[in-house]
Amino acid sequence: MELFAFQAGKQVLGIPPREVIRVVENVPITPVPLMPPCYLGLIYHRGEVFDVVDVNCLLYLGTAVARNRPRIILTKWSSRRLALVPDRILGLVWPASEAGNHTGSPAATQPQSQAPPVPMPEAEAPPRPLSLDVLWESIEAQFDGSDEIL
Amino acid sequence: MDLTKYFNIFTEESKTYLQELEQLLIQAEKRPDEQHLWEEVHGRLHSLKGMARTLDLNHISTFCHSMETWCLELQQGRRTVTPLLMETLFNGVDLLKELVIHHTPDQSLPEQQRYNRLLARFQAAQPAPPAQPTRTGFATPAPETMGMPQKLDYVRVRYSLIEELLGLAQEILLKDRDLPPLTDDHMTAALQSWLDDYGSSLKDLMHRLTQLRLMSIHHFAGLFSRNLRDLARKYGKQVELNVQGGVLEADISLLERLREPVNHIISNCLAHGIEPPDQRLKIGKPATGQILLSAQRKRDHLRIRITDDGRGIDREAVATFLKEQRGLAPAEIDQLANSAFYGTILDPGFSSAVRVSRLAGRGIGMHVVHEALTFLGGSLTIESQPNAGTQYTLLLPLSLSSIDAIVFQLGDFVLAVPSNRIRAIDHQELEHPGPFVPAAGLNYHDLGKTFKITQRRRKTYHLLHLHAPPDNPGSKSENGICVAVDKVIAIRTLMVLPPGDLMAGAGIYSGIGVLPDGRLAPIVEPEVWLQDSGPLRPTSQKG
Repeated sequence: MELFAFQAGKQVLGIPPREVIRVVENVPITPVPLMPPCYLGLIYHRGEVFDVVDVNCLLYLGTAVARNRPRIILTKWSSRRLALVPDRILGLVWPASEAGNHTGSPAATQPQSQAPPVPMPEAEAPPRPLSLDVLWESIEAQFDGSDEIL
Repeated sequence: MDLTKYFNIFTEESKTYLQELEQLLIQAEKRPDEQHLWEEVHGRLHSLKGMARTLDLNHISTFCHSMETWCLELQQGRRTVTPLLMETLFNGVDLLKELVIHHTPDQSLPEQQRYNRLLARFQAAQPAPPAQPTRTGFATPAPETMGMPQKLDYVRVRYSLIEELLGLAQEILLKDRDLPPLTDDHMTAALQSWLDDYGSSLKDLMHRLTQLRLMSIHHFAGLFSRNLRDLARKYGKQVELNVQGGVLEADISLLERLREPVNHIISNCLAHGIEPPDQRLKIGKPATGQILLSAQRKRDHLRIRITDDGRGIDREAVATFLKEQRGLAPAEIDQLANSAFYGTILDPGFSSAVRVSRLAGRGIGMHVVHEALTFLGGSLTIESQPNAGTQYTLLLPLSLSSIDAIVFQLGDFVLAVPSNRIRAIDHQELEHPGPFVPAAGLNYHDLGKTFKITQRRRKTYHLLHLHAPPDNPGSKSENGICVAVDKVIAIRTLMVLPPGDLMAGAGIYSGIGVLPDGRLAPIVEPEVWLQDSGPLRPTSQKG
């Protein structure tokens, strides 16, 4: 199963590629007061507003790290929209065990016009699949604990 | 093959059919002898059955088929309309509504027993076995029921798709501002003409797309018919909901936000206004009460009036409240205009409900309805006459897609407030740059504290003077509150987008304003920031 991988802190995480609509950069993030610390603000993309969250802050650190011109992953699933700011974007990957099975014959499973996913570099840990619904629940938990967070 | 897409289409189409079916049943219940109504009911069920069969949702198609058989017997006069029959049909529609959402296989139906019971009831008096599916999976309809299919002159699309298209069109319009400067060498008359034509076409496209967001008042009113019918039956009352000005269309985003307030008002009309049939007959009124929902366009506003012909609002209860809670003398109460007197029921402390019931005690009172309408930039006035009825008048902006707003800076944040909430803007100079110190006598509210924002130390602050709160009889009149902001950035019309899911869940912001250069400004409403003396806190609104 291919994943769209990115790094948050020391973790490499992967989300389903079908839920990624675009990666953008140099997009101004509009800060919004009174939101939890991992909520960075809003961006406007093609007529839609996305909530932007810092993934490392949300899952591990608890405080956002200032970034200059971050690359942002725009995701859409079910009826939700979310923009993720990771520490690094790895792109579309095929975890090594599966990539090995297909090595040498990517064309057999991929249309000619579509580039096959790149196998994970050996030095890189395989991405841990991350459900956006789980991520969403983490964000909601921040709202619920607003007394401590704000 | 992934059938998800087709299941989604089925769900959306079915919801529409079932809504139409419900409206038809309400009409058929009142006019059971009108054959064409039963034919239309039959037609909707038949369409639903066909769609279900194509997706192998046999439990749904079987259920529809059983209901169809009843309709056929009603059309042929072999079955008589009774209250029990109508109730069973309505129960069937309710079950179908759930089945089309959870279109699970038979074995895992969430309410299997209910399904079995209702199916058995529909099949009990079924004179003939169900039609056998053909090889294509469709049942062969009986020749006498085969009507002309509906003309395919429209398609149904998700409202969110229209929003996306509007956003895209808006984005293309904004691109105009990024047009690189063209020198005189480049800018020929032909190019200028082309650009003008292009811009004009885009604006036309925006206009046409905006029209897609419109929904008729007639359809809007239809949303309440079933609820009203069920409540009336439950409380032993008879009522008809009539519509005037139903052809008028309004922005669906506005109507969606009006759904809950209007539902509450209509429920109130039934609960507190319309009398039981025996009481109505005694005082010379028809047994069936009337609720009229009328719509009219007033320049750029929509006026919706909901009128009932019931007993009117309990005048004594209102007078007692004004006397005991607001300290008004009887003479002062007598001098109040009808709308001001009955406007008292919008006071958060007022409740004339004798008991909390599903009708009136729905968790929100009339003051919340009032707040919701104010939040939309609208107003609510109430007039009532004893034994003649009550009239609720809602006045609202026709479109929520743009608002006139004041965009301001507060610390590192850019926010917007609707212009109609601001009475005046001025500024205050301090002797030295520093934190804002309100001048003596200023009715000041610390916005920085509310939003937990550290304002920049400056010498000049802009002051926004809010409109005084709506007149409340008996309340001590206050000067409008004033807030100090770092800087007013712009006073202009903003395109409004719904907030992101998380931001919407915070319950603080009513929308996102998009400035012509593409910058965003969260829109805040004074009612929100003034509702609490302390700092605001977001509240999670899951789901």
